[in-house]
Amino acid sequence: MRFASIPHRVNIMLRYFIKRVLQMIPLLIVVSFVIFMFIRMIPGDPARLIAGFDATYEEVEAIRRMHGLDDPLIVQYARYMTNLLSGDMGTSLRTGRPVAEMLLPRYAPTMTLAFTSMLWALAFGLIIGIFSAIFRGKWPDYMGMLLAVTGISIPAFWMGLMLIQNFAVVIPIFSVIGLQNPRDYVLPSITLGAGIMAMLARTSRSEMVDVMSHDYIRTARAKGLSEFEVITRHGLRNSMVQIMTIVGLQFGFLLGGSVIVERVFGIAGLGGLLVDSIFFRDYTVIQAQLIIFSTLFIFVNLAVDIAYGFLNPKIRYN
Amino acid sequence: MENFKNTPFGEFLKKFLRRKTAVVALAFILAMFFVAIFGMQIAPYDPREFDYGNILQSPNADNIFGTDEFGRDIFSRVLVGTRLTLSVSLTAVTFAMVFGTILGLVSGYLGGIFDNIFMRICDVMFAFPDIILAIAIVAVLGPGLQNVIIAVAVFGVPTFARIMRGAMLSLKQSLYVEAARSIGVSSFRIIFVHIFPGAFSTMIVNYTMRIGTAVLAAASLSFLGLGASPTEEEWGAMLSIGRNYLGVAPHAVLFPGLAILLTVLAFNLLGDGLRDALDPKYK
Amino acid sequence: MQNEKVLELTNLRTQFITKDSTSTAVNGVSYHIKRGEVLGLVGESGCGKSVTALSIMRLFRDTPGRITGGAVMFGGRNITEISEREMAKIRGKEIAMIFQEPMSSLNPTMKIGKQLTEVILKHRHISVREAKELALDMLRQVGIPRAEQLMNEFPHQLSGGMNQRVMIAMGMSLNPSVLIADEPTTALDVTIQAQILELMKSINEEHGMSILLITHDLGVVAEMCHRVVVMYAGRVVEEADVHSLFAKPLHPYTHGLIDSTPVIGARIERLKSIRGNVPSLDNMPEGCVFGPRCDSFEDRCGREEPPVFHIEQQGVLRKCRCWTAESQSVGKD
Repeated sequence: MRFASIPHRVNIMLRYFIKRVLQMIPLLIVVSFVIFMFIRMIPGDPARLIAGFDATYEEVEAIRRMHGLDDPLIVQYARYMTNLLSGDMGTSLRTGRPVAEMLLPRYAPTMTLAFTSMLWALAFGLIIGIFSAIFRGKWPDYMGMLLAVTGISIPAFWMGLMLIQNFAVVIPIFSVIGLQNPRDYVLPSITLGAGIMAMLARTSRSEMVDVMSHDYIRTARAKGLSEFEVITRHGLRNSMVQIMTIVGLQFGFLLGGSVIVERVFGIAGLGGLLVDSIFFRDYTVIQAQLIIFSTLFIFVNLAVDIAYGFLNPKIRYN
Repeated sequence: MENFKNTPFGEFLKKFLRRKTAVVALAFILAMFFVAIFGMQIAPYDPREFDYGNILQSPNADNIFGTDEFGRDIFSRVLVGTRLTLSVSLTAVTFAMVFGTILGLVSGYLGGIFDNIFMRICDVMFAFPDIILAIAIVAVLGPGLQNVIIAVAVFGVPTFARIMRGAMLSLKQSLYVEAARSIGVSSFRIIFVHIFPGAFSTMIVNYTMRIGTAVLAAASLSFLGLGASPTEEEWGAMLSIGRNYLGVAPHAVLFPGLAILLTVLAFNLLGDGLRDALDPKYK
Repeated sequence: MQNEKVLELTNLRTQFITKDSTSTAVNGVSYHIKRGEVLGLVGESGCGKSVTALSIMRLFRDTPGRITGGAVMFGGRNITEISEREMAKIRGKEIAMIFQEPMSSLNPTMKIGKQLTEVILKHRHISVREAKELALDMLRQVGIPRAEQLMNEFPHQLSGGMNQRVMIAMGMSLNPSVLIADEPTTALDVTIQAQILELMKSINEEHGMSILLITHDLGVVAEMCHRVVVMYAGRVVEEADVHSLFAKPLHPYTHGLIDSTPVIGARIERLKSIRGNVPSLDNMPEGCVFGPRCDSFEDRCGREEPPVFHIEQQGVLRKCRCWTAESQSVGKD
């Protein structure tokens, strides 16, 4: 009779999943539209930029017609989105190469960096937060929270440079720049993860403090469980539900931070390319990257939402 | 004196003073304001004076933070840079607060379609990572400190707007506003007398914390070369140039970065202290 | 009924100590529970009755609560002095406790079955399978119809009454000497209340389990208890067997409590109430704590706090903390 109920649960989960994905589509359309319009607001004539500054008036007009830049903006947007769905993100103004092709080799370093940063940040952030909550008002709490507020306040670019100076120049353990071997991810990951680690430590502390004040924690203690068992079996699981939602928000912070960290460590990732493209006013690339970043961010939040549903039985059934 | 202790402000002061870190942070910030005003007078050297016979010197008795690639005294440059840092971040966050407050109030007050559209726009802005939004704005407006202020202000608007909108919505329905309205108090007066005090503590905490974020964001943009020009005494810009000499003169990176760290730390600690002292749940 | 005391509090004092203030929630409380007895602990909210229960269980972690005096004797030991590790062996096994809010007292992310077997496995060295069997058996004993199915459900899928049954099953599963029930029916619907009380009564009768029933509802007391302790402002003001108490309350406060309880079938013009308010813990009146609200207030009451007088009526001993009881007193605490 237990088995009879399982397909029902899966069905509910599946429906929840599909509903969430469908809800995401309007947001994606709005975000991409805002980005598209935003880029059009940039002063200067895109046709002139493509043609080059020494082009004649006729050449510029020819390019304008060729690229459909004389169409209404809404038509241009529709065309851009249709092309985007087939993987065509336009052509770089700077290099003349397809944007999609330029972006392709840059996903892996950025994603690996984001993943490794998140991993260590999550591990340390949780440990610090939980210890601070358990020893609330005592010295481990003060130390943990001082570390956390410092982590939030530290400028990533400076931290990166200091790490390079100390662990690549003075004590040459790691390489100064680039990503030749897996070890080279260590310093950039520490730099990128520091802020998130700090925010997670603060969130998990306050979540844990909140959860530990609930009635069911008193019940767990009244059962004769040791404090360690109370924390691990009852406290952690319940605070994880809330902490997970924060992790999703931090992912945006990771993408933003990667712009700076890739610059500091000379990593050829998406963030580095974004800054380069801004310098060269390479608008097709900027536009494509902004859309990719926000889409990634929205997707991660969706994933977190679904994980939240799995962790929290109340949501699972409603 | 005894009576004063029992006023809400007295209570707040008592709780705030108990947070030693916040008190130290406040003292540091006040000192920074002093330096921002009198930086040029305090600085031991002219921060713009080149001294080619004395470049990239390590910290010593004459130049306690050392010198940069043009032989300028880094200590003097850091002191003078305080003004730029504080004015950029304070201006940006104040703009964000003013526009956020107005938009939030109007949105919450009007409700309906306008409120809906405005909140969706805020959602979209939240969908962008802060720094990427700032970078995107600078990409449109072009590099420069003025545009950095605009960029930092824009990404602060939604947070303030949400706070005020929330305060507006909850207070719109609360009894004492209804009572005030029923005796014929004008909407404008209701906003000033009833809604502002209600949202005040959240706003002041968010304002303080935002300054920390703004200092970081502005410095980051300058570091990327999108903000202050390399000739200005801006900490992020100093760092950006200094990194070229990291191997030979790490102090050129160390001290400006330390200044940024301490400034942001001070505002964050002050914000934490204010929140704890103002939050009725917290003892 | 045997006369053996399973649990005895003597002069217990529990305080809440913060940087700014110290408030004494329980101030020199003494009472005991006999084997197989249902003892009612009655009083208005804030009188310290729940705090005495938390003191017995020593559930003050993360709160400013401290036991600062007196003793709780259980199994020949003063359990206020034993180590936390020793205390953990008593909680859930020797003394179990159920709470007012069954919904929030169960972990929302853990299945009912897991929450039940957890306490069994903690105190008994048996296999998970055996623990599950025992848990199922307990669920059936507390009158849950579809016990097997319920093992795999979460608390929010159950009604408040069902959750309280689960809590009772959890409390009974190791056959403790004492079950402390802190307002177990207050949060439930009236019809469900009666069922839960009936269940607790049958547990007491069938298993001979002592129950400390904390409530503010005198109807529940009359229905359930053998003996009653009345508390007011952190003190015991009266103690008597349930029949004597209702037949002839000695303390003016008890009198007031009984008068302010509606009686079904009785026609009264207007329900009486006790005038004034419960004094705050930081601002106790001089002399008798009930003085300012008392109808039989005399000068002496404002100066001296009365001791607990022992009174013998028809061979039964009862206690009362009031100067009016002094004349019949055969002794005092």
